[in-house]
Amino acid sequence: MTIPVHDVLIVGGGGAGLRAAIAIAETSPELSVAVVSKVYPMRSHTVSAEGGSAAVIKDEDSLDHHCNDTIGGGDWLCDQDAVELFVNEAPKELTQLEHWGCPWSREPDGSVAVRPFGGMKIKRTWFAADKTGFHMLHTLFQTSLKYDPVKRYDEWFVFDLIVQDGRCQGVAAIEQKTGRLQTIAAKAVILCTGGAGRIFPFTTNAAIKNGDGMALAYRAGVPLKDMEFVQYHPTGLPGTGILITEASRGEGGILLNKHGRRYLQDHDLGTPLDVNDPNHPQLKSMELGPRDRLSQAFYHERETGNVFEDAMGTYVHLDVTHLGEKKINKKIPFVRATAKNYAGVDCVHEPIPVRPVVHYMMGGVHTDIHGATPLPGLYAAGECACVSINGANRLGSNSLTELLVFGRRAGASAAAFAKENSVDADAVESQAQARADRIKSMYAEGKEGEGAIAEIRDALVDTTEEGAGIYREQKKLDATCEVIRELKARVKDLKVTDRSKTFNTQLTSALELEFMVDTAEALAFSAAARKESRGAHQRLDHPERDDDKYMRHSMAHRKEDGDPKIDYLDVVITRWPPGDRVYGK
Amino acid sequence: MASNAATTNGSGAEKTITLEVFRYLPDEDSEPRYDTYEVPYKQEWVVLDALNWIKDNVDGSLTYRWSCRMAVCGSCGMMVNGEPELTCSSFLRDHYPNKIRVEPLSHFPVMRDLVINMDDFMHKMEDVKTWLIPKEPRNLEDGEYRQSPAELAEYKDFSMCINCMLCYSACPVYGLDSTFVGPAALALGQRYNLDSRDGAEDERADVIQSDHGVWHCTFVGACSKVCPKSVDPAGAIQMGKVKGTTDWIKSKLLPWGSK
Amino acid sequence: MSKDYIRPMSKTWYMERSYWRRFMVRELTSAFVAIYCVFLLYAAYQAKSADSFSVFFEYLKKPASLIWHFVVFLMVTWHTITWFAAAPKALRVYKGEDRVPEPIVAGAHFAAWLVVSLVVAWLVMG
Repeated sequence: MTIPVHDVLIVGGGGAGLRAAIAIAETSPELSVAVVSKVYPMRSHTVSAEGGSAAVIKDEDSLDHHCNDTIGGGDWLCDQDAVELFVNEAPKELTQLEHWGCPWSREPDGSVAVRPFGGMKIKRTWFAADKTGFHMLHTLFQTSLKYDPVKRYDEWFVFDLIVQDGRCQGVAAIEQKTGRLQTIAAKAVILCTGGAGRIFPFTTNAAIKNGDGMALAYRAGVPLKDMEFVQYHPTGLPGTGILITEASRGEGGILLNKHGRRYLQDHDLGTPLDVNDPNHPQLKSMELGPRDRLSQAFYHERETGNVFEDAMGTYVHLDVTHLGEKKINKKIPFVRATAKNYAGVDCVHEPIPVRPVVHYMMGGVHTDIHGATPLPGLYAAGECACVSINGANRLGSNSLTELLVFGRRAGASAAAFAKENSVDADAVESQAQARADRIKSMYAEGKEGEGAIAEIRDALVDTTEEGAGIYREQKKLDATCEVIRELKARVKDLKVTDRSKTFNTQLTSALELEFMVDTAEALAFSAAARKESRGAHQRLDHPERDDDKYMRHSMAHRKEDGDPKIDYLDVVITRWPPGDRVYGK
Repeated sequence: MASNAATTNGSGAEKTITLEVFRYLPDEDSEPRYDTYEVPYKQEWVVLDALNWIKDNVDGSLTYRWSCRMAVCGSCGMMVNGEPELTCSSFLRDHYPNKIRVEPLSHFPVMRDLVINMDDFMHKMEDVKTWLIPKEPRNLEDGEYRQSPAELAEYKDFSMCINCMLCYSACPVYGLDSTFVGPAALALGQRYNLDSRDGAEDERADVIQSDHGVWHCTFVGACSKVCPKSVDPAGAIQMGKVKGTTDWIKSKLLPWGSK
Repeated sequence: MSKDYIRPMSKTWYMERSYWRRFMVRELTSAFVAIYCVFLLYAAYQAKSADSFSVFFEYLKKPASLIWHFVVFLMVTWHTITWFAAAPKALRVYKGEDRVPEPIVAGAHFAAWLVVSLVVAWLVMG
């Protein structure tokens, strides 16, 4: 039997995957490109990004300012060569998206408008109202339709990477509609599968974000970098975890505790200005501080009993009422609709209840600035990758830009690699057979396993939050590592009662749970090993930053016995020596 | 404030609500059936929460699509008591204590249970050419196209489509004859036609102005009623008809072909 | 290989949803508009001579004719109302970057309708 063979195969059809596909189709139209995605590309989680995408375009801004904000925001764990390259390419990428039709919000003169975001010295966030990710994803998807060399495998679930002769040469996948197990060979593979927010109980992330690509790479022997750095977004709706964008604060929204006090002033984030002051909101101050610091402030307020507590859990208030109905409708209409729908609050008249919520993984598959992983033929881009430009805490609105800059770069590198290498389809197919047999044994031809999916998933997310939440300590982290180790044994025998081949979502849930457990394990072990506090990784037992020992990237490798081994890689420092993170001064 | 969510727990612990769910397994069934489930009733729950509860606790084989649970990914459209809705924003409280019947979106082939086959729409997007074809090509070095807020406003509504397919489910014309290009694809075509940067209206007219395009529409208007993003596809289609008509009249009155 | 399940539309599909029923009523009333147009043409034809028109005019006074006119009046009025209510869909008006709300566009149509009706009434009655 012959299997499909492509020059470049992209796993995931979100922002990074589509940008990579278009880059290859435009520059090397002779290559065949496959986009294999477990959901239709326009369903990908890029769609949920709201506030905006950063790039220097205004005269008062500069590339150095963007570098500064990014590196300081990342608590000096960013690779500075990568940041500089990223900042340089960012304006070109966002302009490119404009040329493809993205409906960016505009100034009266017709130029692209920018808004402020947390941790920015100068405002530089391009936005399309408060549905930026949605518009970027749909623009990319609709643009991708015009390129014939791009072949889509919509609703195909990748469950394995095939490594042959020391190179990644394809994937093993399930066509969900028919249940057919199909190997697809490729000269190069790019992982663009997004993050893993779903390994936490309370997250802005969509159901599809289970760390698929991270686990696939990790199992194939590629290290996961900086996995302990998990961004809590300070403003999610209690109960559902649905995101209320940072743009609500960029436009002037304020955070209040249960006493009506703008409590951020008590956490070294500056002095508040009156909401009617023309200088409100102040950049890099108060509500426009970085996300990690704002989420940590909530934790302390809760410890001292200053937050609201009722059936919804604990929360504070995000107040945008002073912006007025007109501005709210024009600048943050989605915030209004979302708060109304899911919290029963009309933010024109009442404050919105919010609390910190897991939002983004700074860590991911280790890549260089070309998107290449240490495994030849395997590339990664977007949230599933770690270059690293995000360091210990990502600057808000850098992630959408990252999808474009590194999606394109990974596409170009993979295309170049594909031109130089061949693929051994027969060997790939015979190797994939064993993997396929295992899947079949899970449902169609095997016995029902023992482990209940929902129960194990609940146990997993509870333990990650318990040990690896906003504040961490050794004892709890060790306990979490232990629980995950037990769960790892249990996911080997999951109970799949659905025996059908057609669109078997229970089978894919089981496979996703395996991904989640591997990703959570790398995260917990990396966090247990980093005995300092930096950015989003805060240790109650090691409250200080320790540059001598830990200004290095953690690298989680999978050992022969399946357990993680953590070692370190030096951070690239060029022009920005480590300093203090100062906000509100 | 937040009365909806705040008054839930406490007394509501034992309340339940009945869901009647359309089930169809192509490997075994020749006809669909309806399975009935008693689901805990919580005031802040949406229909999707109830389906997830069934899948986790009662029947792991229940099959449906979902992802973002915040009404933007467009995955979870289904018929809720006969109306096309996003189940992530269709609240149980709007139906309680009556039972809720959940079915796959009407007018589409059913792959399994609540999962529809939407291949047809994906092809139609390509047919309509839902991408920007610039009037004047521009180099990246020259920066962005200028587009005033007023020019942006002209197409902005039509760019809000999340491809959730609710409009196709509301459109009897599509239900009777699926060769109709349909509301969402036509609205997206119009989105680019109205974009000040685009110059390919004539190219798209091959499909948009064809018998299967805007002229197939009988202006039921239901698409705009059910659209969760206020895209107003019916409006886009009527604008297409007006444009087609004026172009036709001009071509007759001005035989030298100016448009 | 799996097979998709196709659900055909029933013959009485338009009874299933309220907005479909309203659509069918609107479409039905359009038949009355068309029929009355034919009727008016016939009336114009009868006006070719005074004799034929007076015969025709006598017919108009009969109860059956009055009932017919009353029914047509209701149908055409309903059609006009639904037609003008739908007009903002085809006529999207912008003032700068803000769209003129649909009720205002529809209201302008209704106002124009009223003015034209009054002028006609004045011409006929006055």
